[in-house]
This record gives sequence, C-alpha cells and structure tokens, in this order.
Amino acid sequence: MTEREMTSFERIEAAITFGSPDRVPLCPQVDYMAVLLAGKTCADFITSVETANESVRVAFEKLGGWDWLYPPAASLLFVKTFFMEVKIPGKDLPANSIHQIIEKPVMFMEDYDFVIEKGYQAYKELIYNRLNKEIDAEEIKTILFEIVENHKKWEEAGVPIQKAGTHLLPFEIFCLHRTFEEFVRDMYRIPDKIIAAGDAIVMDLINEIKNSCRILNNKAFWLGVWRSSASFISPRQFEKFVFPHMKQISVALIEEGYRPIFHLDGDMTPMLQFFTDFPKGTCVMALDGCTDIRKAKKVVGGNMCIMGDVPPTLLCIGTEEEVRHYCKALIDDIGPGGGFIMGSGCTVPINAKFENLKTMIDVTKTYGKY
Amino acid sequence: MEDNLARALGELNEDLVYEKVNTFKEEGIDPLQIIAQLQAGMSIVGKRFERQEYFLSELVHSADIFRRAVTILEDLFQGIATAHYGVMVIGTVFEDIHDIGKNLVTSLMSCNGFKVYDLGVDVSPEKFIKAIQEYRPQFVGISCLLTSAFDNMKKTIEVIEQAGFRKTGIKILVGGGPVDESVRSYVGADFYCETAQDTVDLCKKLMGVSAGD
Repeated sequence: MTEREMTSFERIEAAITFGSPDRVPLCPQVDYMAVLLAGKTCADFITSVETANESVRVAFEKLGGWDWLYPPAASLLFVKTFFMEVKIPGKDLPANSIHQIIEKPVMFMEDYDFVIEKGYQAYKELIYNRLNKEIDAEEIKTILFEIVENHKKWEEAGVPIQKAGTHLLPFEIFCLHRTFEEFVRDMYRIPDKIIAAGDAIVMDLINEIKNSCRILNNKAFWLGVWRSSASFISPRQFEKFVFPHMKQISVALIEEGYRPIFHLDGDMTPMLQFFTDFPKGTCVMALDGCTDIRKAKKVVGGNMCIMGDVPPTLLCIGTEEEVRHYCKALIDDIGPGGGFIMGSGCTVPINAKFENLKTMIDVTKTYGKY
Repeated sequence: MEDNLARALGELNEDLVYEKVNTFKEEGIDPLQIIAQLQAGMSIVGKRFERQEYFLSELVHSADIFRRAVTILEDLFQGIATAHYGVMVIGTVFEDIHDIGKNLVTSLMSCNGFKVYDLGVDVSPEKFIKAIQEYRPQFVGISCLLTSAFDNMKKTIEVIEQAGFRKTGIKILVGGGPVDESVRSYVGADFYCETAQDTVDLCKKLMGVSAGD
C-alpha cells in the first residue's frame, strides 16, 4: 500500500515538531523576484497588496509551487510601517529596484534614559516623529484586511503562510536607530543602559508580537537577527546584550503556543550553542548561507528545525548544476532525521535566475523524499 | 618608547591608550613614533580578528580609539603626512546605499597608513572615474550588499577599464555581504576581500609592507 502524500501543512508541521515528513519541505522566500515573473515592477509590488499577491501567485505557478509561503505583501507592510527611513522603488529609487533601509541616527545616547522612563510606545512615537513618518491607521487597517483575506485563500488552497509579522529584539532596534558605529560605542561606554532600556520594552514587544499574530491569524512570527550575528558582534556581546531578551520573548510566547522563526542573517556559527536552550520542536532557525549549517545540524539539529540555506549569490550567478549539487548535499547532510526545511538564504534575490530557483524546488521534491 | 601603547590598543584598553598618548605627547616624543605604535596596536587587533578572538564590533571600537588618540596629537601634525603606504578610492556601487562594511574599510585602511578617499554610497561609474583621475589611487574598492548590484559593479569596472586605468596597474577590490570569489570573477575585479581586515592585509602585501607594520 502506498502511503498518501502529505499536505504542505502536515509536512511543515512534521519538520518543525520532529515528526516524520514524507519529504523535505520547501520554503524559498520569494518576494520581489515574483514581480519580474508577473511582468510588473517593484514599484507596483510595494504599493498594491493585490499586485503583490497576484505576482507571487504567478511565480508560484511558474515554479511549480512549494510548501511554506512567505507572505506576498510582507515587504509592502514592512515599508509602510517599519520605524526607519526606507527608500521606496518608483519614488526614491528606480521602479525595478528593491526597497532599501537608510541607516542614520534617529536615536541618541540620552534616549536610553527616555526609553527606561517612558517605555516603548513613547519611544516609538519619538522615532516616528524624528523620521517624519506618519502611519495612516486607516490605510494599514485596509491593507491588513486585504492581506488576511489573501492569506485565507492561500491556506484554503493548501498553502500555509509562513509567518505573521517581522519583529526585532531590543538590541536590534537600538542598534539600527543608533547606527552600528555609535551603538558599538554605547556597548563599551554605557552597557548597563542598553540592557535596562531593553528590559523596559521587552514586555511591550511580547504584546506587540501577540497582537500582530492575532491580527494576521498566524502563530508563527519572525525574530529578525540582522546585527546580532558574529558578522557584527562577539559571542560574549551576544550573551550579554542579545540572548537574555531573545530567550525571554521566545519562551514567554512558546509557552502560549506561538512559534518563533529566528531569521538569522550573518554568521551565527559561534552562537549556535545558545539555541539549544529552547524547548524541542517549538522554533525554526532560518540560516542565510553565512552560518555553518552542518555545525548547526550538530549543535541544534536534534532540537530545533533548521531552514536554509541556498545562498543568494548562488541563486544569482551559479549554474543549475551548482544549485542541484548544493541542494542535494543539504538534503544528504541536514535532511536525515527530519527537522529540515529547504529554504533560500534570506530572500530570493530579485535577479536570481529562474532556472536556478526551479532547480532548487525540483531537486527537493524528487531527491528530498524520505 | 615601549610598545605597551600598542598592547593597550590591542587589548582595547581605551583609557590607557589616551593616558599614554597624552603622556608621550607631554614628554615630547615624536608624534610619528606614537602613531607607529598605534598602528602596531591596530595590527594586534587585526591578528586577533583573524583568529576570531575579536569580531567586527571590536574592529570598529579599535578604529574609534585610534581616531580619538590621533586627535590628541592633531596640533602636532601640521604638515606631517602620516598616510604613506598608498591611496585608495572607495565607494558603494550605484543603486546601493549600504555602507557599514565600506565605512569600516575606510576606517581600518586609514588607521593602517593608507590615504582613503571615501566617495560614499550610490556612487556612479563617472564619480569613480573622476576620483581616480584626481587622486591617482593604487586601489579602488567597490562595495555592495545587494545581489541586484552585481551588474552595477560589473558595469563600473568596465567603465574603469574602458577609461584605460587598469593598464596603469590600478587594482580593483570588491567586497560586501554577498560578494565572494564567484562574484569577483563575474564582475571582473582583481581581488575579493571577505573582511575589512583582509583589505588591509591585501593592500599592505601588494605595497610590499609586512603585515605586522
């Protein structure tokens, strides 16, 4: 008797919870790349939920589909709401460029005291004011409504949506707002203030994540690690400034049934040991090709699902044969025992070759069977 | 002069570095000797970075200490050139505005005896050409974070080539998050540097300077 093929929901769940998936699940983070396949521009992608959704639908069909869908309008929502200055395609950039974040100081050394005294909401208002960024609550409400409706349709068609929102740890927030160089100075001169300011906002961050998960009807959320890797800081600094809040936020939410996806940009190899601290089968570690994924498998592989890590550069300028070889090696080395999702290292670049991404998907569907 | 100033910087002992620089200044020690010690301290930091005892934040902090220490000596520097190993023009390629890595290369190269002209971000090929004509560098550094900027890097290098500068022996270095050897080959650069420290080591080597200097 042949066992029936799992649904994408079952396959993803089995990979995360260390059940027995029928094959390695797939999660290429297809974002702006979809607009080119749909004959639209990045400017269209960033302004209309419907265009974003339709573009991803076209890409999904042309590429043959996958298991866990990066929310089609995630970039649109991010650009509208993120509390940093963002250069927007079609407005500040050519219509077919992707958005870019401008890292300039909008938080100053004395603001740590402000955060400690006034809390997260007051701090957010302060930053939005400095950025001259007004959030149109009605517009966001409409966007969220459209997104939720689209997500419902995807899920009814058997394609689970990967996550609700993208959230940041206190370290990341302050580092981005201070700029990296200034923040490094703070780590040496006023370390206690950084920690105290983080302590002051951590409960609000937990509530913000719950709120976003409720609105977007998804228990999985991203914790974006952009400046906390060994590409930027030392393991000692990670232990002191990052991990306590990472653990506090994650554990509190895991206990209530939420699912953190640690989106780990940069080299986390020296920090892997910290990730053994989370309950088995409750989180996902998403790697971007900079971390030694084989070491990750050794250190956390029996405890936490690993997703990744086909490098963006390989998808752009590698050959199909190189992609095939890379993916097969991942399936051979990271796949055994479940707990692995084949993913792109961070976002699939807009200039990734179609045939490379198709190869990644096809190889996983055939060679990745358990 | 003892080399404990170098050690203090190597250990990122900020207060001790400033204290020693002030003391040496008051004692009338040649500021170029003091700078040489600070640069030796930067070499210690570089070696620790290579051994993964230090990370990017330590590199940034060391460059910050170095800059502040040099500021203490500023009034003694009129007319004294401290950048003596070579000249670099650097910038983030057009349509890319990321600059953390590029800024660090600028800082570290400056701390290690190179004169660096930092053209900023979103730098057009024309701006690179103009800077090369004006500053006559031995090295051109082109940085990017976006994979979508690979073709812009390629185009920039083609323009530099068409202008005839590569025949003069100028070396083009590329770096940035997604850049690796395959990208170097794709864009036609001479070298790829994985880290800012690699850039310093490579440029010193190409200029015939020993890594410890």
